[in-house]
Amino acid sequence: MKIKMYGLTTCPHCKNALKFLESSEVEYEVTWLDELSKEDRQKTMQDMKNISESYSVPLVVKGDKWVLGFNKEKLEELIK
Amino acid sequence: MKPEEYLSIFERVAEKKGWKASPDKKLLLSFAEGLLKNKERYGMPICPCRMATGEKDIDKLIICPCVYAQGDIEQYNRCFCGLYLNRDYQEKDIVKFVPDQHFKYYFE
Repeated sequence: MKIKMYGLTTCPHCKNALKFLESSEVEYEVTWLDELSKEDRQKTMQDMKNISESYSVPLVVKGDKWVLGFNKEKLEELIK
Repeated sequence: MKPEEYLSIFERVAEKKGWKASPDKKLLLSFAEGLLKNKERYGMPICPCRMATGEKDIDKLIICPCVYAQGDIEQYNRCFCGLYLNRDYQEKDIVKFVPDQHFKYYFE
């Protein structure tokens, strides 16, 4: 199952989450909110809110499970 | 300005406010890179962990250190992004996630 990450290119915790995914050899895609147009960003943020009840990043999603913030232990559990 | 030059700013701000900067130097340099990128992009060193709206009056609320930092540090022992911490707490004892007080502005 493909993993989806939402983040900001400027956010250190998002960079750490991305490094984790890169090193985990899982299939993933990243949406960088700060590289979207305002309209697309707001639409994407609404999607994030529907998933996690939050607009915070990084948000890593696998199916109906998700991890908010960079938490290595929780991310390891998520990608199992 | 280079990211390394930002480290002394973090220390000065923390000292002035009665906080401490994260002891993780690698993390601090990453914060500095984000702040410099935002300064170049938006003309303001806004929080690297939050979304800019493009509305100057709103975005200036999250110029680092943001207007929410003091309250967050009092309540959660760290600011939203974790750059600044309660000086009386060890990093391991500080929560991993702080709710974003600025979220109400993201759809302006």
